[in-house]
Amino acid sequence: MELFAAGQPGLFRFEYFFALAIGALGIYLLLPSPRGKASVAGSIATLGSLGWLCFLGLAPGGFTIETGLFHLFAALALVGAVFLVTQTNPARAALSFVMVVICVGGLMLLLAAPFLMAANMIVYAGAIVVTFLFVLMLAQQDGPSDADNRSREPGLACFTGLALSASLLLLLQRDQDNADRGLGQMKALNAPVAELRLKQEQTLRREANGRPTAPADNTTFLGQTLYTTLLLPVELAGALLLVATAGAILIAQRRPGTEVTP
Amino acid sequence: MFEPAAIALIPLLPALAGALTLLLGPKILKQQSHWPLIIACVGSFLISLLGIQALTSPTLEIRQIVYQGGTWFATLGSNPVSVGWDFRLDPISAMMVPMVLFLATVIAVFSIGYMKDDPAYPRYFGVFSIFVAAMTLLVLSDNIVLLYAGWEGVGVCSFLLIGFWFQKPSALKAARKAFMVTRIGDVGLLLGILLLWSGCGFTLQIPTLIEKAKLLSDEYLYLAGFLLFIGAMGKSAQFPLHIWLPDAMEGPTPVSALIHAATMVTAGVYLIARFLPLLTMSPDLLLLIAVIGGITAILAALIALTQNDLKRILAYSTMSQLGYMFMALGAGRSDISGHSLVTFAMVAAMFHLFTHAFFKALLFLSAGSVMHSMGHVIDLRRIGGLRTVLPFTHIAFLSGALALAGVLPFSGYWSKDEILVAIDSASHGPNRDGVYKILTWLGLITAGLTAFYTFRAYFLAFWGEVKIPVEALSHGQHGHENDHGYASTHHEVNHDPYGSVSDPTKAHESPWIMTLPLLVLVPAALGIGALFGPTHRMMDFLGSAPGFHADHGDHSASKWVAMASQVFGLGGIAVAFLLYVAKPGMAVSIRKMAGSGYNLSLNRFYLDEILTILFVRPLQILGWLIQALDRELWDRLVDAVARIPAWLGDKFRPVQNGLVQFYALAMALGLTIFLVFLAFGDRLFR
Amino acid sequence: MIQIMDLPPGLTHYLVVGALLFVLGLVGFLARRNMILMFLNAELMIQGVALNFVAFARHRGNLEGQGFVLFLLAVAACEAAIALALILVLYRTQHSLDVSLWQNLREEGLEPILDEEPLPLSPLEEKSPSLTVAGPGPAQPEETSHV
Repeated sequence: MELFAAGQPGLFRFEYFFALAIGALGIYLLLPSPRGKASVAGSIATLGSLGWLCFLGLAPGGFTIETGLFHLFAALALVGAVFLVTQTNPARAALSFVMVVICVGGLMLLLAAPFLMAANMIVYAGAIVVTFLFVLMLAQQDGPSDADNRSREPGLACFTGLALSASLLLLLQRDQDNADRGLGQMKALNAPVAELRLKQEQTLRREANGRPTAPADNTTFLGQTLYTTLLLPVELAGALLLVATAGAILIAQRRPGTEVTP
Repeated sequence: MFEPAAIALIPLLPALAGALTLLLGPKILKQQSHWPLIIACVGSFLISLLGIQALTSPTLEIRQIVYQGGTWFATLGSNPVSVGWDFRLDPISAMMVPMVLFLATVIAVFSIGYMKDDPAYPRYFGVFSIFVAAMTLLVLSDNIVLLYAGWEGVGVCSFLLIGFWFQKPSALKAARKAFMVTRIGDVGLLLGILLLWSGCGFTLQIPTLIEKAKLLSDEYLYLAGFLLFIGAMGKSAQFPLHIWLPDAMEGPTPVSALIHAATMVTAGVYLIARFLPLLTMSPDLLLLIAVIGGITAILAALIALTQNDLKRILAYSTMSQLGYMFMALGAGRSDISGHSLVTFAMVAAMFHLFTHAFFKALLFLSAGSVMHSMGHVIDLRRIGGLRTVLPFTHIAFLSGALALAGVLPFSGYWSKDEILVAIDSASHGPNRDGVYKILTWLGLITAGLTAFYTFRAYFLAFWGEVKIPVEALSHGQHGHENDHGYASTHHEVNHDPYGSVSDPTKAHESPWIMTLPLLVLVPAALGIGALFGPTHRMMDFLGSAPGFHADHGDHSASKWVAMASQVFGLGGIAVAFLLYVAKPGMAVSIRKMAGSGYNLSLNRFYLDEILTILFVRPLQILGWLIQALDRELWDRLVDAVARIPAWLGDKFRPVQNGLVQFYALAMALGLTIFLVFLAFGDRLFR
Repeated sequence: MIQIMDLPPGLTHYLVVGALLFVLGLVGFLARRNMILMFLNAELMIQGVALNFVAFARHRGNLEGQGFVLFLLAVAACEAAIALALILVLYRTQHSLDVSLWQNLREEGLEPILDEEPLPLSPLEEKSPSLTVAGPGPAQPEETSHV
């Protein structure tokens, strides 16, 4: 069952919009500001919005283990993201990003992509965030700076976020409507996909009760795909990494005359 | 047997020569640029002679040779226009074409000497060739649009050759004036063509047009004919569109000889003669043509009396003679009981055109020879007694003058005589006879005046004490080696205009390449009238043209005018001799006696000024108004529209505040708008 | 046999989560002024996109989407390397990570945008215990009367 499938076609689901609006308000309240942030009200609003969204997500199907895990990971990822956005201390923000990455990894596992889960965590949590923390420590040796206590136009940013997320949900809903009515791209997308999905399911290993196991062969298949159909992009990505390495070294070089001592 | 397609070669050869000269002249031919023109002219001349032979062969039933060389352009629809390369050689064009080509050849040879060392030598001969091509095309075309093409072609070449020395401001001005004034006529001609085309069942063939137009109503015919006549007036410098011709003398003298005396200016006469069977249906129009011709004839003669510029005298004389021709055409009445004068009038006009071309070309070439020897000074007050200095030129000029004055055995007499007889015969008809009587007398007086001013110029230039301008001495034989002919005016401003010396030893006769064409033209100018006139050869030949019939009718009632014109002519010569040779002082006292009349003539009756005030100034004011409107209203409106984006830009520029996050915000909002469009676009634009 | 994708966490669920992650990253990118945080937010946006790719790969039953996430990782790594290098260079010239210090590309004649509101004392400063300075006590005003 898809998220919007139960609704009446053509009508916008205002409950989603209200949930989003409350979330946006909460984030606005949580964002750092010179007047201090309303932490309690903001937290309540944001958590309320998240809870509502989870409720809406659970509503169509009823509870299973999978839905429970999905909602757990999704909610934790979003909470981490909210932390990342609103934390005054950059180091804490970086750590909350690690949380996001881990939760997204869990979602990827639910989506039968164990290799990506691992790669995502290793690359982000293991490499990128650590590098960020290094730079952070290099730059902000004397604690949080003034800039971390200010936001650039928080109201405008939250409004933009609300508008963008509302329009994205609207688009998804419309797409679902069209699919329900036998129109639009979803149907066209689904038609050839049905066969493929059947084929894939037949190749999946199954447990005794007929439920497919998490595809442990994922790494093998992914490797095959990467080195057959996606060979050229892989080589290009390698070249890109090389160029980026060289560029980073070149940019970060110390040049005389560019530095200002405070 | 004469192949009809050869007719098309007559304009084609000079056209090719022109293209060749203009393309190759500046780099390859250089000072040999005259050869393509001369070869083409001689070739075309021989073809035209063969054409005449074929035309006069007794086996030919209708005296015409038609060649249709395919379609030039055509449109479909209910009012079709179809213009083909249609050529027709009939007696009228068969008379014109060899004349044009013969004179073109002679004048081209003369130009070799006259234009020697000019830096634009190839351009001169290139445009010259194109002119010959356009003129023969005009004369030979059987299609009225093709005729119009040739008509415009000669106009353009005339413009280019008048303004040949375009570094000289006066030449530029004269060229522009000629082009603009003839343009008025050309528009008239075009409108006339369109009227005839729509009135005569959308045909453009000249003979068919003439046939069908006879069924038109009188008013329609009058209007169409009048418009055609306006075209002829512009091209043939008839009053009041005559003002361009005297100024056209700014061009090189051989050009004046060919274009502005012998050929192009007669295109109007040719056109009216061609359409005379049609125009004769409208007696009012004929009268108008005759009156305009008469006014032009006497007016030009009166102006020519007092001019001091030799070329200008000849220019006014040309106008006057063209006026004669139009008078003759205007006498082509068909409403006289007993016999129609159409053929007689046409033959008289064309005959005069024919003889006039020869002797006027001769006179102009003589003037050119004088200019060449005198360092481009042509002012009669500064030259004199040249008969010993320039003996060949003297003979040539004298011959031309005798022919022009209409002295008995020479050609001018025979043709002018026919014109006067034609006008006098027209005055014997019913209605309007009074006007034609006045015109007869006008013609006679003009004949006397013509003789007087021609011989005045002759005596002033070639008799009396020897006067040679300083320019002739400083430049000697190669007068325009360095100044290309336009520096002489410059000298005139700086020096005493009467600065002359009387040392004949330093001035020289022109080189043989210039005197030879003169001597070739002398017998042609003198004898051609007697050869064709009294023997009725011209009448038999031209009268056999389709649409006309030979007329040997008895005009003895009008023979008195021939005698009268002789008396007037000889009288004029005698007065000129008396005033300028025998008793030179008398001229001055008569000039004083005439007073304002003299000034009126000297200033060309102030016609240029009157026309300027009547037409040029209002147009200038209109132009100024339009310019002011354009600049003050439309321009400002456009500027205002242009300021809107600038204003908007000013308002939106602060958006670029340098903060990265604002740019990202704009991107995100744009993305949102795009997504909303994606979601609802199909509903909005359903 | 149970159809996998008919169970509640369907494609749209994942897409919504991806979208919300993306939007949160965007909000952070727009609102936060620390350059490092801005880039972390950008990485958050990339996480949302990666989740979308994986969800679509699952939905369509092929592995191209997952392969694409690997490229996304490669690009993110490159981006991080370059971004950090740039941040270092910028930091060296201004000794601050505040992105608002870089307004040099604004329209000519436009005043730079400055922070008007004063910051309150940081909670750290506020709450840190203030010990009395060691040594002799502060000078006390002399008593005016001895009763």
